[in-house]
Amino acid sequence: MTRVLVVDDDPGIVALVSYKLGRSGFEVDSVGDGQAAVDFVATQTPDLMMLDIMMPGLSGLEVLERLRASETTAKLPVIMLTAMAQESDVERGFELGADDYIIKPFSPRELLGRVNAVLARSAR
Amino acid sequence: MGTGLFVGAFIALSVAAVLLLGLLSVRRLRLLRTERELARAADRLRGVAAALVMDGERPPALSTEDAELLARVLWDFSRQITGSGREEIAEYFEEVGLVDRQLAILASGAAWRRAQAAFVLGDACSARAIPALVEHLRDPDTAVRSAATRSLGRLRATEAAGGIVDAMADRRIPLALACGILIEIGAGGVPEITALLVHTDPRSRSTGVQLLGLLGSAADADRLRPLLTDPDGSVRAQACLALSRLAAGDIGETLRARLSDADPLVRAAAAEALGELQDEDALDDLLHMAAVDVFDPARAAASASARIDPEALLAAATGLDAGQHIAEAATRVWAARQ
Repeated sequence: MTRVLVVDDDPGIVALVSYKLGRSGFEVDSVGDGQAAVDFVATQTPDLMMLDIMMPGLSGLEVLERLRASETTAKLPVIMLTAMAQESDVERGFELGADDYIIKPFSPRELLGRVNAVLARSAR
Repeated sequence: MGTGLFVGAFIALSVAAVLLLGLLSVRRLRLLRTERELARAADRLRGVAAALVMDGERPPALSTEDAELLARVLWDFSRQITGSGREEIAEYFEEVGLVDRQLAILASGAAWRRAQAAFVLGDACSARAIPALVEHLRDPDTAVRSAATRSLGRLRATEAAGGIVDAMADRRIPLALACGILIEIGAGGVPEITALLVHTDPRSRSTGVQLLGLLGSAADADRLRPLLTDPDGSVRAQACLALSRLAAGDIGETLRARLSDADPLVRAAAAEALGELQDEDALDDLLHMAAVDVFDPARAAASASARIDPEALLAAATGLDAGQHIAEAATRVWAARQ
């Protein structure tokens, strides 16, 4: 079963994304901050990460930077979650190696579509 | 006796202070416990709410407290998602009668309750609330009008754009709020926004131009061209910037003509717009302006030149009469290359 890690400090977003992906056949884990995400991937490797940008402590961009700097997670597919006003962060995220992004508020159907598309591309 | 009274008063006040501190501590602990219980209940109900939003699954019978908490979770969710999930939320709130209750309060409650109802209706996602919210753009209370505006944005109520534009032009709602909501409503509001372009108040015309620049398309450029010769300088300046955002193909010559506008802010806006469009035909004029004009237009012209042709700017910076703005822009170009 494909494993997704959802990283977001908003429990509402975590609940929505986890439910949608869980009902679509994914195994979903979630953490509430950047450091927890870094700690998680140190011991387990998900198949994809949904990563919020604005979080207390380590931001999503800082987490992404660390992921890409490590051999084990350099190629981990990452989809950024970002609010509408943070388009400059999207640009920075792509520079750091993110695979796609979703702007909040988001369409759950679109989210699932993008997850499937990113996983398909990374499998090639 | 005096000393005895003093000591007695001191003891009494000390006891009262200790009792008060004790009461406040107990209250604080109870509040913390209530917060923790609410957080646990919210965690439990998020799964129920997610099932409703994603799959239309109706919740089981809930206690009054849980039903209220579920409503709050759904309001939070309504701000996080788009699409069919919002329709599920609207349907649920219609079924439990929330929309009817809030509409009734909006019609006849005290001002603070009307404001609260107007706010809640935006998160309840029901399009049925739109006409009442539009009506309350004329409410006598400012908070009600602002809450109604906010909720019309939440509902993406294209049909409310005209009412919001009127309320903004009449200063019934704050300009910043109205602009934000019209942007949230999106391109569907453009026909209503164009009415501002002919308003008698230059501030309204200026706002209309800004909004059209943000929401319009290249096809709207023809509506904006006449505003380049508006009697008001701020309107002309906003028209320059809006036209560069719309990126209409043949606008360069018209904008270049604004480089000799009598108003320095219009000249600055024209320079910025030409830089945005990377209009090479404007380069010589911009470099000249950067060397000789007053602060704002000179600075804008130097920045625009850097965008259009950084090498030409660097070359100009070596001239004795280059001026501070060209030198500054050249320094930024050079620094970006390091």
